[in-house]
Amino acid sequence: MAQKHTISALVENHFGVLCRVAGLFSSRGFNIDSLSVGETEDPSISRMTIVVGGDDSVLEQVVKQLDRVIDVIRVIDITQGAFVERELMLIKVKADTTTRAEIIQIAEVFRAHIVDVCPRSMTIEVTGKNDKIQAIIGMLSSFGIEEIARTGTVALLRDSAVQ
Amino acid sequence: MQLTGAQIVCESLIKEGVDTIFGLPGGAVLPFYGALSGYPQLRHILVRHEQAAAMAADGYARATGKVGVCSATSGPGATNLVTGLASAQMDSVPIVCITGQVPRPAIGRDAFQETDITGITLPVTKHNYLVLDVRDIAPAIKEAFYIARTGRPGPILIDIPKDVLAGETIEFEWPSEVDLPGYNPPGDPEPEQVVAAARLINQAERPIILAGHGVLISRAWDELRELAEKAQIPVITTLLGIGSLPTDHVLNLGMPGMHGMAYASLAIDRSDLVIALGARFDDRVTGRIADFAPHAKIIHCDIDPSEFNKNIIADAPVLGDLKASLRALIPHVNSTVHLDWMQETDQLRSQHPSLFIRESDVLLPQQVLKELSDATGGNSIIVTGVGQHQMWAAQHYGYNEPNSLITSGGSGAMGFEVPAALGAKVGRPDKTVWSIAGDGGFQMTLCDLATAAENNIEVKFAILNNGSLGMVRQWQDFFYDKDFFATIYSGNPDFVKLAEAYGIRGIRVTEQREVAGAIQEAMETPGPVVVDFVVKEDEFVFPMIPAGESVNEMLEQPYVKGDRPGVLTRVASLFRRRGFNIASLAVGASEQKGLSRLTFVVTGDQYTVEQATRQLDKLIDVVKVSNISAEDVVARELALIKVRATPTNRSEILEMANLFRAKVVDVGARSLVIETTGEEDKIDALYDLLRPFGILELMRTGRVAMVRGKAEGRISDDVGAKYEQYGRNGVTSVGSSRYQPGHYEGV
Repeated sequence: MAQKHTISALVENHFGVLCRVAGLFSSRGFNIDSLSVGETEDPSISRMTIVVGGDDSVLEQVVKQLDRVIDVIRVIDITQGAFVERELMLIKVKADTTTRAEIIQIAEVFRAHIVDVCPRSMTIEVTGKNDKIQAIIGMLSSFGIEEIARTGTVALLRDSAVQ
Repeated sequence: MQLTGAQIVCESLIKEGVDTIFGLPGGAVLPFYGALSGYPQLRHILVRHEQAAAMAADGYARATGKVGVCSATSGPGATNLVTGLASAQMDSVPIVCITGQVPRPAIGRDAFQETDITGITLPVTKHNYLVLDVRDIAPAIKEAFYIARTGRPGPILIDIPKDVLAGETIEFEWPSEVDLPGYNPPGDPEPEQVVAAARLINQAERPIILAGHGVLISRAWDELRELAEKAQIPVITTLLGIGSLPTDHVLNLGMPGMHGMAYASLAIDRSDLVIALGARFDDRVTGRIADFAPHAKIIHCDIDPSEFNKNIIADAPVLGDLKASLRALIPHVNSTVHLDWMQETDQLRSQHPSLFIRESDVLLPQQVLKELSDATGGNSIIVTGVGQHQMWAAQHYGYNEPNSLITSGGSGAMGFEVPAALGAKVGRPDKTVWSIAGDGGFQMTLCDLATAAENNIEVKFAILNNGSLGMVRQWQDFFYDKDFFATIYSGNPDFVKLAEAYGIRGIRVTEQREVAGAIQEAMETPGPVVVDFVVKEDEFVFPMIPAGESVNEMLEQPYVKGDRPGVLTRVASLFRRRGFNIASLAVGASEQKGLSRLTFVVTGDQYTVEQATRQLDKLIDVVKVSNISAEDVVARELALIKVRATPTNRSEILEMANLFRAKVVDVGARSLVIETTGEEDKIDALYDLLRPFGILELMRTGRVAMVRGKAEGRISDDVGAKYEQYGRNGVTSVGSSRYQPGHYEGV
């Protein structure tokens, strides 16, 4: 079972940066589990959070090859550090009169929000770490999952002095 | 003054010190050309294919140390640059390419001659730009040149839409600095890294320097020489590092790797410290990584940290610009000499004369290179294509100066020989430039002979014409059962007539004795010249370490004078890597002086035996293979058995030995050593009988066998005569095999 590493990269918010990074990963054969990009407090800089599978030597290459890309300003492997990691998921699950109550209870346990209710389904929004997301998927799968949309992990080191 | 985008491009190029552009215009880039014609200080050389523009810029950059510049139009014009860009990227060569693009409103709508060239070139450029505003042109160009020439150099592409080139006019402002927060090329090394490396160097007893392209890029050849001479360390150079130390320098031990000199690869194999300077441990140098430099620690000096631990784990990485790193390192290195190691490397050199060119009636390509080296005193710039001729050029020309070999190494782009030579000559008009071409690669880019003629670019082209795709043919010969499919060029033109069609002097050489005269004539003829050397078709590049193999499996050329150690290793490792199970092996002299006979017993089915026989036969050292399993053979084995013997049971053991007609060769207080010869089952039987007494030790030779009567395995007279003449230490093998099912007819 390959290790997973979480990498946080600050990149210049230029046209095509995402493409450059994705292309780099595919041409070097690195395995992307998830990738999310978003703005930071500085609009000219975006933060990319990438979860990569592979052992330490792969990780070393990933970090260095990313760093070589001109638009990438800084790369940090935050797997080892103390970091806050979150993911957002919207999950549409089959629900009817008989099952609705149970689904709502499960959502409460996970502190998830119901964002849509329809005669035959229900959409739930949940945030949390990867294992929490996996757990709620597990609990809801027996009802029949129609659709899942996940953002991928975003992460920040706990020590805010790093910026 | 208000300038158009196109004019701003020209002004920016002048600010960056550009005076030469190789290019070919088209619709989308026409505004740039419109402006360019008004800038006589920017010399534009019109090529006949955009690939030539990129490769000419590459050759120009390597010859001068400046950034090469090329331009092309959108769509197919831009895509034609890709091969040249990829080659520059692999070899870390600084070039800037300006391409026109369709107007901004048309982007993304499949317009005429539109292509997403920035997307296509993402993996083959160090960086690229799509400039969408005229105000961004000057900053992009300034950044592009900065990125191209600093750190680890590389190609940059700048794609400019037509309506940005020919639209709004603005005031030209040249930026005072570049703002690249994500780009910080290393400069001086960390002192701890330098000290750690120096410590390893001072402790080493068999150090070797591997000098790569970085020595030339960083212009650190004086520092390399100083380090090598201070600590008396032999220097081997990669293909792209050739010229960093003169070929005839006493410490220059040649080039290692797939087609490197045997002594260079063997020296790495025996070294205890490899000091890699600006080299990236390419697979052509290392061979199978697990067997590369098995006894050595590695110092890796490089400007690109992603090269550390990429292919080879570095024990002592030193990150920095090589010139600065060496300057920091040299004071910490002790002045010393390694006499034993020097002797060992000298011995390797004399035992493996890899550059020996044999006598031949047919014109040999190696001979052409050697004569060229003699005629030019090793002072020309040699530009090559890719293939056998490239390897011979690397081996047989005596390079005296840095940047005198220009070749597409990492990429291996055929066709490089013509345009890169043009670029080199344009950049260095003071030097003689010889383009060494293969007939295959030459035909890919020969259209730019027109460029040579039109601009009177005085390149001397030497075509090593063997009527085939030589290197591929060699692989087919060695590894694909000589199936020469799709490698024979039977439709070659008359190259002399072709040259003359371009208004260029053409000379044909078919004989050895014409070579020197032709070279002389070519050099004395003004302007470009094409010399068609018609050479031996089926010549091989030696030595060769096959892909994925190591120095243990190196093939050296036959007809080599001198000792040939390693044959047994070669045979044994053939068996190991193919997974053949050797039950026993015996080696000894044969009836023919200079040839040994190996007898194997191999276990396996019919397929295994066939394979083993064929694979053995492929080895250069193997003269003849016979499978005599099915024949009527005499087979014998010799065994020495040390059995525990006490005074009480000694006589019983001796009686048993007598029964088997075995001899007692040693008597001790507690043991006896018995020598017995016979067929395998006889030895097995005696062994079983002796076992109850307690076997202390057993040594068996393995079977030797000979066919009764008709001398099936005997070396034929003419083969024997050849080996007498060359005094060669070859091997002939008579294999016998024991197999489970089926019946094998024999070789």
